[in-house]
Amino acid sequence: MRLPASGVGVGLRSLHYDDFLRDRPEVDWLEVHAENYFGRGGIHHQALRAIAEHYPIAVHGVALSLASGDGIDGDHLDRLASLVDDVGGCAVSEHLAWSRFGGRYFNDLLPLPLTEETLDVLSQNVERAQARFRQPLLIENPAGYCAFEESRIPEAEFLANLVRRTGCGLLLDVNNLYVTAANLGIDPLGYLAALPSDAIAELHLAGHEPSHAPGASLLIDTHAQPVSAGVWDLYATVVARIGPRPTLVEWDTNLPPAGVLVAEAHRAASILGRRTPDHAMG
Amino acid sequence: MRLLDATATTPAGIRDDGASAAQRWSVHVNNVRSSLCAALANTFAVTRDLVGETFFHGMAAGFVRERLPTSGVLAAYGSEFPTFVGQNTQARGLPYLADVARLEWLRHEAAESPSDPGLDFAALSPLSEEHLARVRLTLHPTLRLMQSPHDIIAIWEWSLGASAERHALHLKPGPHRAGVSRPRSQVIVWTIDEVEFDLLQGIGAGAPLGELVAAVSGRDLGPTLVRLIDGGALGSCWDEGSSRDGSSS
Repeated sequence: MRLPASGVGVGLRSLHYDDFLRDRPEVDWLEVHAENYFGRGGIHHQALRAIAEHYPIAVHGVALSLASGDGIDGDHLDRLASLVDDVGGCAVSEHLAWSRFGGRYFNDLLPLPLTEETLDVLSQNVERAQARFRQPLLIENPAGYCAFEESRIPEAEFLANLVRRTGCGLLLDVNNLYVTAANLGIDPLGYLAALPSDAIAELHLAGHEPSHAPGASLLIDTHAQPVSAGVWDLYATVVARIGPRPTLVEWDTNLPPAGVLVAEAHRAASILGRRTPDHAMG
Repeated sequence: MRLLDATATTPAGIRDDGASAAQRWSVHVNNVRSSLCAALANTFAVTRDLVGETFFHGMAAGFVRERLPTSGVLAAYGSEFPTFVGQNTQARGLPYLADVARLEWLRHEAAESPSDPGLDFAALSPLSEEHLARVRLTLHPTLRLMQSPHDIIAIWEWSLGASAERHALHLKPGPHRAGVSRPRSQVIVWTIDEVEFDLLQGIGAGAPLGELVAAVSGRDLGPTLVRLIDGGALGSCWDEGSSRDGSSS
């Protein structure tokens, strides 16, 4: 199964299970944070399987730690692959980030120096994961707060190299690009131009907010509010440059009613040049 | 990497144009801390409700500082939190709190386990008395048991009610015993008495039913078994010389 072409979807959270089971709002697919559904046969896994009867499900991993130098966790990879099988995942995505070190797990997408050495690590880990999934992994650009002195490769070029080496696809998170551009002083359109647009298989949209820390002029990727006007503008530019792509709206904390989230997805559909989403599986 | 150690310095080599390196790195430190505290608040929602957001956050932040997860599956994070709550000096005035958290964790574990209809009473009813005495039962695969000196189920049920409708809570003296299981879609939490608790311990140890009946002489075990089956406490029945049956799994 593949992501619905030019479709729009939303991230699924447990608060909205009943909405998607009962009311079936019109979106083309739903995406889940994979690790929330690792309890096979548990309440969340069962709910997801029921919802998967009505919507295609994309599986978005947040804890595989693809940038870990000691490789990815085989058990975690197996559980991720089982979930993809269980819900007939129409896409599998992960991040350019690490989150595991020394037997401990840091629940965040942590940054890495972008060098030939880390590119080797990423390539090996992505190839191993793709062999397990038997489909290309989509790699997402992270929200950037830190740039390392030892980085030698610009992030977009790093991702382009990863695509060339592994055949992976890209998940371009437009909000992350906006936030990274503001925080690290890069040109978002130059970044976009350096990516192989054919490899971009999915777009993400989400909300961000300014840091509340005194004296810090950083934007924080919070997924806790509507998509900002600046991100909508950048999204329209991205779509104009690379053409329409399946687009997902993420909202993970301070959740609104499902209707508000679905309305954000419909706004994305209008930018993609569509009046309403096709409800793929009715 | 001492990511969460407040005394740790920001890693070297982060460029600090615009915002400082420390400000930049602190975004990740805050993300880790706040997301793990939120995960604990989600799993221990009743505990949080009992003590309030601020107090709970203080305990959760302390736990996160001491014990980071060992896996990326957040549902597995927090098994040691009830013990941490019990050792928390600020929670000393709330002696029941750790056991309420323990009950919540058992409930969380059952929710993450596959539901299973367990033993069907129809599997026992046709058996002769002599046959029944030889039968061994197994515990339901999702069953969790706990004992507490505190009336934790009453506290737990009180907390689930709408706050405007909460009546004064009359706690009964202990000890109290709770069973948690998932025979159907939803997890059930129920009070079990001393005889039932001992019976379940005996079943768990693999004793034949006849032996268990003898141990609780004076009590008619029929209604007790019905109650345990209804509560999703029993998994299957079997006797030596035949395979396990009675379970629909």
